[in-house]
Amino acid sequence: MEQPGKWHRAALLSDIENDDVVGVTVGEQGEHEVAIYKLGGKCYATADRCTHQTARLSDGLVIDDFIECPLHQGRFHIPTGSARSAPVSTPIRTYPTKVEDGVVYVLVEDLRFE
Amino acid sequence: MKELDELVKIREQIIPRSQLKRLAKRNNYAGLGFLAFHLSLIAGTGWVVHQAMGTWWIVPAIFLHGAMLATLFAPLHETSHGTAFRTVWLNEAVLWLCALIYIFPPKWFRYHHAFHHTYTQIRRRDSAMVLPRPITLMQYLVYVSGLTVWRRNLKYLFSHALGRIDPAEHEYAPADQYPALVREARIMVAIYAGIAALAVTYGSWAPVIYWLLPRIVGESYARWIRIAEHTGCDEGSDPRANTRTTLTNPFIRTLWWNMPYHAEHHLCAFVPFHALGKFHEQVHDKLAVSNGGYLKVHLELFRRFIRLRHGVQVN
Ligand code: FES
Repeated sequence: MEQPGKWHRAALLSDIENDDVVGVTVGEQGEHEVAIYKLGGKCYATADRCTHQTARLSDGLVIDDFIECPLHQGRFHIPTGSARSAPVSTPIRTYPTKVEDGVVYVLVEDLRFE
Repeated sequence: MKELDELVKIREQIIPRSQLKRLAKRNNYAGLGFLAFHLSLIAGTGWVVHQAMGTWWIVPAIFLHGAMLATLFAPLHETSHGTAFRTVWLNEAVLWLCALIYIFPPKWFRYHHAFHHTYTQIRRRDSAMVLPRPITLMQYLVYVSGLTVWRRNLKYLFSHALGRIDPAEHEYAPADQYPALVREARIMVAIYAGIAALAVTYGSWAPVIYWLLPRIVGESYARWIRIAEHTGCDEGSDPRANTRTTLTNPFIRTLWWNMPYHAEHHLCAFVPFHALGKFHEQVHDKLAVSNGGYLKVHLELFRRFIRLRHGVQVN
């Protein structure tokens, strides 16, 4: 089934170090803050703002397949977005990704779908 | 969030993320080494208490042992940040062990402390603001005695165990976590009740002599250290001015798991304790650093903020 939304060009694959994260904004007006991860050569994307107190996850640390929030060290599982350790308890949103010609794309629902 | 944006902006000016990422690497060895050192010292001072039994030496021995127990605040704090060990279960196990001995519910500590990091030195928001100025001598002495802290900590433990989270503290944790907070307090109370039952059954005073009494009198030492972290620093969210690093000798630094590098810790809490020394070398000229040890910080506070008995404000 086709997912609603639009593929947005987010980053160059070569700009993301392995086991690291970068923050980007995508959407017609750059309204979506997205964190793009490269784990073992595979790309993932989640919302960039922590669900606890809105710190930017792309400033945080990738540990195995978790992103640790830079402010209070709450952790989210990158592939699923689930919250794994206090003080975070609400999951973060995840987005589908694809890589074409060395460019990472994320599928983001436009605001009118939300 | 204004406070957070300011912290991030200043951090980016002080140190690039690539450098922080290198410092933030986790391992288990440093934590295990510090823990072994720490627990050996506690065992040692426990032995001193045992040897002093029946003599007047028991009084200083209990204080010494209590001071060592109070330093468990350091691993409690580091594990609450999740930065003490790379392995999560090890981090959580040590967090629970320290929380049980220190008598502070661990998950609640995490939430409470997270709020302190967000609103450091913001009056009426900072959950752990120590002695906002002007300080009187009496306030200082009461705080250092640890009595007010005991009242607060025991209130957390027992009111949570009874299923009550104080409405004034609702903002520290999301409502979906209240059941977990109540559960952890009940587990702690059940463990303490078990220890009490065993002590009564066997007619043993050991938990009182080796744990409760030293823990109560030793809290002063933790308060003495905690005062140096922020008290007298600027109010506001600038981490260069709202937190103080206190340079001290390697023994005290190790005992407190490098917490004396407190300004560095507040600048970037995901740098683990074992990398704070290196972090300090890279950023110390941008932060508030006191270089004469804890005594100097306290004397300075006396000079600047404490209204002495004759009512003259020395400042
Ligand atoms: S803001 Fe992310 S854990 Fe608090």
